[in-house]
Amino acid sequence: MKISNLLCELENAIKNKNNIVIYNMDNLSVFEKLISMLDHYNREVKLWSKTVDGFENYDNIDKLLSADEMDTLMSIYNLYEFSDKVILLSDDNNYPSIMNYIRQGILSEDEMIEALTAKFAGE
Amino acid sequence: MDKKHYDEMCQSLDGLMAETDLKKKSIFLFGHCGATLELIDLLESKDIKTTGILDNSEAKQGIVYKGAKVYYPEQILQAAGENPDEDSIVLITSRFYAAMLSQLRSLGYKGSVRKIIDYNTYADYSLSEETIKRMTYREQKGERLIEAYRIKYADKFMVFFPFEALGDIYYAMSYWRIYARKHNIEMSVFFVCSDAQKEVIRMFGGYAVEVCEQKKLDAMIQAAIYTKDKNTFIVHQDRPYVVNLFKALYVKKIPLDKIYCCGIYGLPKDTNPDVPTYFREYVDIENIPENNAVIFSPYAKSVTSIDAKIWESAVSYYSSIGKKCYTNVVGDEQPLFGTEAISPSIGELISVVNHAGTFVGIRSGLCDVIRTSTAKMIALYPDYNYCDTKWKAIDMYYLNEFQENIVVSEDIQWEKL
Repeated sequence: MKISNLLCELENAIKNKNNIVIYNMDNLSVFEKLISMLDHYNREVKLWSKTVDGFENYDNIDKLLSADEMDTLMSIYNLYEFSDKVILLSDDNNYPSIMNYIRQGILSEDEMIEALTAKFAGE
Repeated sequence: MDKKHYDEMCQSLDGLMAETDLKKKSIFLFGHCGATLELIDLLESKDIKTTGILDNSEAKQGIVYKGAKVYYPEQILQAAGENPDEDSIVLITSRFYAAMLSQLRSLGYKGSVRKIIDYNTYADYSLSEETIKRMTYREQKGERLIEAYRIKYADKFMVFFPFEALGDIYYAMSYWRIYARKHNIEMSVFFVCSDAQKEVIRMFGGYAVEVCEQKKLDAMIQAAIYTKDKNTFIVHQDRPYVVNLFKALYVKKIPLDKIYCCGIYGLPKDTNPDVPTYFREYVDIENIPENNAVIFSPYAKSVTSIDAKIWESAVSYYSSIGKKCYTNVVGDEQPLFGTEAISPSIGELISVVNHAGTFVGIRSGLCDVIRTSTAKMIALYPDYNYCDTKWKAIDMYYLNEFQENIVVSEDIQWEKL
């Protein structure tokens, strides 16, 4: 997919008042909990995930991103805040991550997902 | 609010008043926070009444400040009169300007929305080519700044503090040495945006510190994120937008100390923080009656103020028992009536408080700076919620080292403390 197409899709999703969760981790346990949590939400939330072995078995992923597509998305996300409707789940950055709370026993994985999705924009 | 932002707010308001007759408008401010309340005070000083405060928080509905009632944003079209788009204006002092503007437009509000303070250079809610180009330019500027500092500091590890707050720096430094050791970081340089922050860092050791203009600091931080520079680290709980730690507060109360220890640095809960050891003695220390004086600290730039009557009653009580009373002031701040002004530097403050014997202050970063004092210390908390969470300020900022942590709601019986 061309960069411009991906950005168009992103822009349209935001304009349509969708909240987008970008999942950029390999962690299957958190991924499953996220899927389960989003299933229970009666709201427009799109899940865009990186392609990891096994993820394709879940049919409620709205978009599976190739490595190049994820790089493109990350380059825009890391350039500036273009929306408050986008939530990124990633780790191993040069800034603090909420995953630290899980590693230190402050939050459970369920609580983390609940926290991240508690206040989607426009609600 | 710090002086720089306050001056920016005054300038923006003056500019706006030159082009718009605000007295003929219904004025709404978006976001019930300290900066908003300061803007209401400023408007009042110019004989301009604020109609209402828009806020999404259920907990804040019903609050009234100087006649301005808190409404849900959805209510603006009803609350702003017959012709809201023409007769009203929304002023924003929050860093969430872009999100607030977007919400107002999605609600159908077409009236004027003005940013009074540019708190957030990271956000522009657009994916247009022009915006991406502008933000790319900003990021590249940040990269060039980092390169220049890398030459100056001979490849030291770069630590960025995105926000001007003394308390945050204190917590950050309490755990920095332990984090650095864990990650094999030997030499580091800290980037902050105020001299006061630099002083707090220096209380913890002879670190290299660079004080930068906020916009340059923002650009460097964005560049560090964009390039995923592994020789940098950004230390804050909710800034810039990529940091999501604060969201944990929507489900759990986590005191600021643990946010820094576990959330920011990823250290175990039972990690013992470092305490500062590099202090200087105040030059006129001998002129302060030893163990027979009180240092009042009624001013805080980022915290809602406490009613003047509370301070009056405190000064009255401590004076009546023979204590000499001082007010810690900076810049054009005025000492409380019946007290003498005193202006020690950050590094000297603890010597002043130790010598005086008693400290009474609004809960601000200054209280963190003197946490290890041996004096009797009383922290006063305005009754407000921490950001948009359900937790009160005292839940987040409670100080174990202080003898009293008091939420100010009515008169305080000073003689009982």
